[in-house]
Amino acid sequence: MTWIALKSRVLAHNDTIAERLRARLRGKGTVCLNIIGSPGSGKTTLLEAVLPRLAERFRCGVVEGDVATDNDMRRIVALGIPAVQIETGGSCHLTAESVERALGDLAGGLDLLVIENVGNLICTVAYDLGEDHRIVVVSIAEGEDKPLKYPAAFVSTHTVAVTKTDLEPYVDARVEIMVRNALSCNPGLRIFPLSARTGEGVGAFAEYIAGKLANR
Amino acid sequence: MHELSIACDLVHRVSKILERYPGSRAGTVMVAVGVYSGVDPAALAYSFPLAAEGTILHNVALVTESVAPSFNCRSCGASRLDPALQSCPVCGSTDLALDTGRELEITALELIDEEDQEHGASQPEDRHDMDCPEKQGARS
Repeated sequence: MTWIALKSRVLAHNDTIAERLRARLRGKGTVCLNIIGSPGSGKTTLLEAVLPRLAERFRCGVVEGDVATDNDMRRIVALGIPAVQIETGGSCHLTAESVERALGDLAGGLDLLVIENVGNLICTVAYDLGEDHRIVVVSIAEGEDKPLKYPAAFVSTHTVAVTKTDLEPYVDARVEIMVRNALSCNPGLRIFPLSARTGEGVGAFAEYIAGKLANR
Repeated sequence: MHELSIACDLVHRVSKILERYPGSRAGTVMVAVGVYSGVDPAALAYSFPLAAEGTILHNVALVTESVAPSFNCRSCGASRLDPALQSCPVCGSTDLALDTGRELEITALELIDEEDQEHGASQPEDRHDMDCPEKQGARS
């Protein structure tokens, strides 16, 4: 018997499609975001708050991922922004293949493509979807130690949105401590505390995304 | 729990690699699993025999090795930094990014000649003892 040394990525199939997708989107000047966060962290609500601001200047489109229903797609379409829905039927994450298949004609002529992943802070981390930037969304109601409990997500990104900050007075969690905990996982993070309900912090986050588009 | 789909990808990858070695079958496959890969080695160890069942990888052993996380500095390029650090010990920048720890890679494959298999007959057909997750899944 013999041993052979290898350096072969287990998810090479996914990664190949992700690279193809990234090249295709970049070729069209489209910036792609992959939004990950727990179920109920406020990912769609954040998009509802941010996208109308960005849509004034940029052509935006959204791929929604959920286990079931097209509710989130309909919420985005209601804003006048094109969206497609991936219903995974049980799978806990999107794959590059599922995104490529769902995209269809959507990617043509977009400045910004947002992929809202299935609500999950573990499985989604392993899959490259061809994005330029990954954004982790975490709500203050999930507890200030969430970054310490799920560090893989927080070290896989440069950007975190801490949502539902208007709930801070009603939950036993402080935004300041959650921010500190996230930075202790990953000191390189840009963190945006915000409330889609009151609008506080939404403008700064939208401008940050706009900056990514300006630097294409 | 996405390790079953990861295990299916692993079976696919190893099968493709084996195509380059006609006359050989796989004995053991070693996989590096980064602590921040989003993959639980124990769940992968449990899923792998299920994914391999009915394929040419039936009865192949999976050994996982944990890869510890480290950061690099995006300002000065210092690497292999302790992930507990809050700033770069070289230049002081806080612009650190994960360097190692996200690996999910096949690192080695044991090849066994099909002829040896006939001589040795060392792979009993009654093996369905999926390797104990506690044994294989331990993170260092």
